[in-house]
Amino acid sequence: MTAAAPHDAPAARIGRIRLAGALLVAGLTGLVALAPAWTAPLREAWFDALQRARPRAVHTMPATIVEIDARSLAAIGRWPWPRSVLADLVERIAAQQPAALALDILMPEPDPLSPERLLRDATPAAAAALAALPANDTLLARALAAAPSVLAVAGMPEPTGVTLRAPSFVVQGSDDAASLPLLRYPGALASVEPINAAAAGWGLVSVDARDGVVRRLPLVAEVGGTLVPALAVEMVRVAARARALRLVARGAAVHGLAIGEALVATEPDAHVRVHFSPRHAARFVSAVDVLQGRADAAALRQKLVLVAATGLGLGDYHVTALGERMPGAEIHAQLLESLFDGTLLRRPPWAALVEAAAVALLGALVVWTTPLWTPRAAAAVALGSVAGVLAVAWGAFAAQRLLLDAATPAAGAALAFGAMLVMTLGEATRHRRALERVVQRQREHAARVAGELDAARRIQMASLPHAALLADEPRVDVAAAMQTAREVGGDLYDFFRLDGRHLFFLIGDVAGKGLPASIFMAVSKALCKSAALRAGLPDAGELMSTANAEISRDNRELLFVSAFAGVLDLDTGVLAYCNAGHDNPLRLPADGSAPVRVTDGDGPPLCVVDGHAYRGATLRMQPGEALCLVTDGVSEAHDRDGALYGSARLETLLRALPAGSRDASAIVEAIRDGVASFVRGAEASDDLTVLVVRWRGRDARA
Amino acid sequence: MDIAHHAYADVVVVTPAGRLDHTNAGDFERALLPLLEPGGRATAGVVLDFAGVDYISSVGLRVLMIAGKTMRARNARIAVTGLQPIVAEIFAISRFNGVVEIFADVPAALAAISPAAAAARAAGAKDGGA
Repeated sequence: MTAAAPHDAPAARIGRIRLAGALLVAGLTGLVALAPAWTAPLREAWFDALQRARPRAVHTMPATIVEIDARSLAAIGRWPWPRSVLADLVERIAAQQPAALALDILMPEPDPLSPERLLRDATPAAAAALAALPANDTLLARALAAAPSVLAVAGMPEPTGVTLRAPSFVVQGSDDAASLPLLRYPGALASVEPINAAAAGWGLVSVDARDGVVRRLPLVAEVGGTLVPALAVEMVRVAARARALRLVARGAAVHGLAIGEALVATEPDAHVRVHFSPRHAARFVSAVDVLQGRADAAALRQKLVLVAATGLGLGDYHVTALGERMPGAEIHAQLLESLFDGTLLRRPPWAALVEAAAVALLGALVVWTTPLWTPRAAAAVALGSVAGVLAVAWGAFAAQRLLLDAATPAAGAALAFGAMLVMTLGEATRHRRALERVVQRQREHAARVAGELDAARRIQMASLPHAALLADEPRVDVAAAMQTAREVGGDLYDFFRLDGRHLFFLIGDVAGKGLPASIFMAVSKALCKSAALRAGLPDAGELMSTANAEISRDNRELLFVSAFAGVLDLDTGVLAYCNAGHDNPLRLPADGSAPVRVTDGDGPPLCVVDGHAYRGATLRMQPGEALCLVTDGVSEAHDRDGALYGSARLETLLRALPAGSRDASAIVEAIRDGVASFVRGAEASDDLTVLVVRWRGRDARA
Repeated sequence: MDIAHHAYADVVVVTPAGRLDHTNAGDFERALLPLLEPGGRATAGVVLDFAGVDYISSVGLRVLMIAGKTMRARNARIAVTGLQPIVAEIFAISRFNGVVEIFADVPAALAAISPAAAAARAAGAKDGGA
């Protein structure tokens, strides 16, 4: 029986799963290569994790923040201070000759605390005294004009109509600065005119905090239609006394910003990524200490000094990539440190392609291995390769400050692995269920066949005559046994009385075994019986010729059957017999002497030669003599080593039987036991049949 | 199972080897019977050289029976040569020695069936061919 495959071949199923996996990986690869905005959070979280694992070590401190802190507010008074105080602060800092001095303070209105504004409520005498004093804005402007000062510009979301002062820019590599993907603010906020005009530079203080976290800072932005440098950039320009800033573009992307000869590479939108360090107290000097002359001069001399309000409720605080809240001024200071140390993080344009390649590689590995290997092995490979990608990204960050995204490829590989696992296990489950169905069907089929064969066996065995049939016959003693190699066999035997004097017996062997042989056996047995009943007594040759003709008539399968048929005269012991190609029977004398082969009265097996005229023979049995007939299941029984039992062993066995134990059933048992102890459990290759007919004599008593 | 055969004039000599039992009697049948089809060269007869056959079971004898019927139906002859003792005993017990002709060797069988075939084989032997 051949079972139909439950589905298609395993290779086709694996191929289908792999195709689905490959499509998924291709989609993920494209996604990583194009990096749409919604994929940014995972990437940025990975970059933040890198920074947190290895924050920037602070080497040099080019910038100092003069902070208007809680202590300063307690000593000087609440914010905003009169600009005369700011002017004093600027002058005291300027006296220490800083490289640049930036006010991270926006002053868009005239000072409300200026003397001339206090006139309205003053007495005439006081008014006169106040009027003689210079305006606070004038004082501050004067102080700023005397220093390398930089004032703050803020970007606003709505147009404000404020005309900006800004350093001049040279744009290289692009005809149209408006086409560059810069950060753009429609409006601006700047300090009032006498103050603003006194400064040497103007820089943007607005910090671009996406998702509330500052990671990238613009070096240049367009504010109210004007290119404005970042405050830190402008401080460097003023310190370097450079006239103009150079924006280097390549096509529609910004390549970098040059301050004098030094080019700072940027991302296409002129942003840079600061490698943040944690907050550092050494960056700060309290404003009150400067005003009261207590500040360390070394903190200000030749430094890039930022003046900023950090006191409670004043400062603009932002969360950095390190997850730490930090005043905007310290972020500018960190940008200055990074510009000086050259420690800006780099996210090269090819990074996305490398990450896409990593996704493709990891995905291909997962797609290849998952359907082939055990889930555990496939998971180990997936985890190992993900760990490798993470390690490469970490190494690139630690050694080269390169930002390569390992999180997205890892997530992509995990997604692909999960999908492959689900598909593989699902397919395996389907396959197993299908196999179970097939096995179930096979079992049912086998059970049905076994049931049918069992029924066939019962029918076959029931068709064989039983020795009890002759229990009332004292003149003859018949015993038989049949062991089939399979459920049903191709051996046959038969015996019955033709009349009151004559016993017919038959043994035969169909060439072949199993069901076809068993059917042919049944047909042969029936036709032999009918031939025996019709043949003239006691002509065994005529009987065999008739059987040959009858059986050959419908023998489409071209089987043949060897047979030995005999008719025994129970009164005289005369046996008429004919041997159609069967094993020669043995005569076993009653006196215990050696058995003798009966070889004559023979012809070819039935069905071999059409129309063969069989010639029988006769012999006279002695009282107590037995005729022993076997099929080749006896002579060709073999042990585990393939050795044959052989007719010589059978003769030796029979000769050894004592004279007293030569009744038919004892002989049958002796032959069966002899063969069984010889083969020692080796599988029988052929049916085995023994028939013993012992003539007791005319006057024997049962 | 390798079954060599060679045609000499109007006789085909087939040379099976090994055990002709239920495991390869099917091969023997498929190899032998097409050679005996009408239009083949075995017009005078077929000679089965059994020198290499160690054993033959009743399933193998059945193939000989079918071949014998085929040949007799065409008035052609079937002969077996070079029987080993065990095989000879099986032929004797099953009385197949009356169904097919038994010869000592192939030249003897060819000489009995067809002088032309015997001559062809003798010429081939002289030329050193098979």
